[in-house]
Amino acid sequence: MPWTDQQPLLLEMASAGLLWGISGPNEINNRSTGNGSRGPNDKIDKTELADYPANSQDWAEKLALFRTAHRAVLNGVLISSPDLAPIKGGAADYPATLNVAGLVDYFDFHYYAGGGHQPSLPAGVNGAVGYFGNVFGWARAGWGTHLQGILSECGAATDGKTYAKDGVSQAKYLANQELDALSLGCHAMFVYQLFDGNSKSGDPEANYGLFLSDKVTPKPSAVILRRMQELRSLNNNADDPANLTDDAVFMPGINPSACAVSGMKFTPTSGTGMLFEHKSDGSTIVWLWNEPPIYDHGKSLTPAGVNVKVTLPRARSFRIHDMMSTESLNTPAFTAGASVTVTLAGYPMAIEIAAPTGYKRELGDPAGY
Amino acid sequence: MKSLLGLVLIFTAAIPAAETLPVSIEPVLPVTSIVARTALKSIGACGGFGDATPAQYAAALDYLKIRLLRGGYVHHGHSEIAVMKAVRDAQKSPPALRVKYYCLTPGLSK
Repeated sequence: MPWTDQQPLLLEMASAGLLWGISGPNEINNRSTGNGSRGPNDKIDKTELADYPANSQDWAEKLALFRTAHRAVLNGVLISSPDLAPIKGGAADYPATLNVAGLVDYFDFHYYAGGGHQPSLPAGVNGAVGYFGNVFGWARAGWGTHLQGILSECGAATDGKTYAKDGVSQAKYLANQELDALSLGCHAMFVYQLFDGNSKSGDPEANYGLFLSDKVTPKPSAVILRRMQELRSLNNNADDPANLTDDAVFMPGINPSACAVSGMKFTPTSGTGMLFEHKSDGSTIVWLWNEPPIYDHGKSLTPAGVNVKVTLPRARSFRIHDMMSTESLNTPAFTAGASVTVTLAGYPMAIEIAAPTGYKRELGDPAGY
Repeated sequence: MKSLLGLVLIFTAAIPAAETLPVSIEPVLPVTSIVARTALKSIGACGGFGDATPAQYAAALDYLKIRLLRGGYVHHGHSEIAVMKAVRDAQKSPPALRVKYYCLTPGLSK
């Protein structure tokens, strides 16, 4: 469908409050599959690397002009760069973009580690794309160094040869990917894809789903992503209406800089991270994760656990959530203490720290930080 | 008051404020602090909609507690304009579903 024909539907959707953003074309640097989309003014063979910058700027300008021309309707609708496919070998394809930071709100890229790997596998392992942070950096370097990113595709296929059929390694991969993306500064992340095309097929492309192809049965990845959404919601309940209306500013219930962590060194080296998510009720979710191998020859692996200790500024009430468990988030009892030890085994663990006594959203912790 | 204002500014921004911990950790990924609701509204699904019915979209998205979908008119060979209309229709049935689209524009070669 030509760009001019798309515009009325986009405006209709925006008027109805359904449009969040508009991206440029898909995988503009993708030569291997032929999916690389073309810019509106592009007459050049897309197999040429030199072609990509022209595409990028064409589309960035088109979208910027479209939003300006219809600013009354498109006010608040974000626009982003064309998106980039993760190319094996990496950096050679990423600087081929032009800086479009003056035209768009976000840069856009895709990432798949593949090969049963975790998102933050060491660069160059088995010819894979490389560490997620590298790809994030390469994409940002091209589009605009001050921009936040949108990870508009990521995922892992449960075909049994890429990740295990049982879906466990896919679940760990996606949970870690989500936290990798948020902690590096991604504005949003989209999981490819919602439903399997055919769960009985051995084709990887048919097995990226969060649900089986019956479109009803959630895979372990759907369970863990849902669980993470619940935990970061008010009252650990994503259906709580307050989540949709509470947009006022607030003070955090804990100061991350006053915390300390030890034990986050792994042999062999793996990706790892720590992310504080603050809720407006004064509670805090502290995510901890590491990324040792989780897949080997058709089977999901269970890595050896590693103890990590988090020291809080002072004694606080907390509880630990194992994100691969299906236990209710309201079941674990709170414990008081000034330090917490959790065991990491290749997927996120969460420490839920209750709001400090006397917390006020305007003032934070009355005992100070 | 000055420091209070500084913190408020940090937490009204969408950009996560990097806060490296004052201890020795392996700096493979940064330690970051964000507002939970920022993440709650930032996780979505894309592609793979195939022949699902509006009710199936709605049920899956409601299960996942996500509010974003990335669709496109042409993406990976699928014609997703029908999908976008189907999800738009699905929006009308379950009151909890408030999905927004992130649209992908095509190129001329498609």
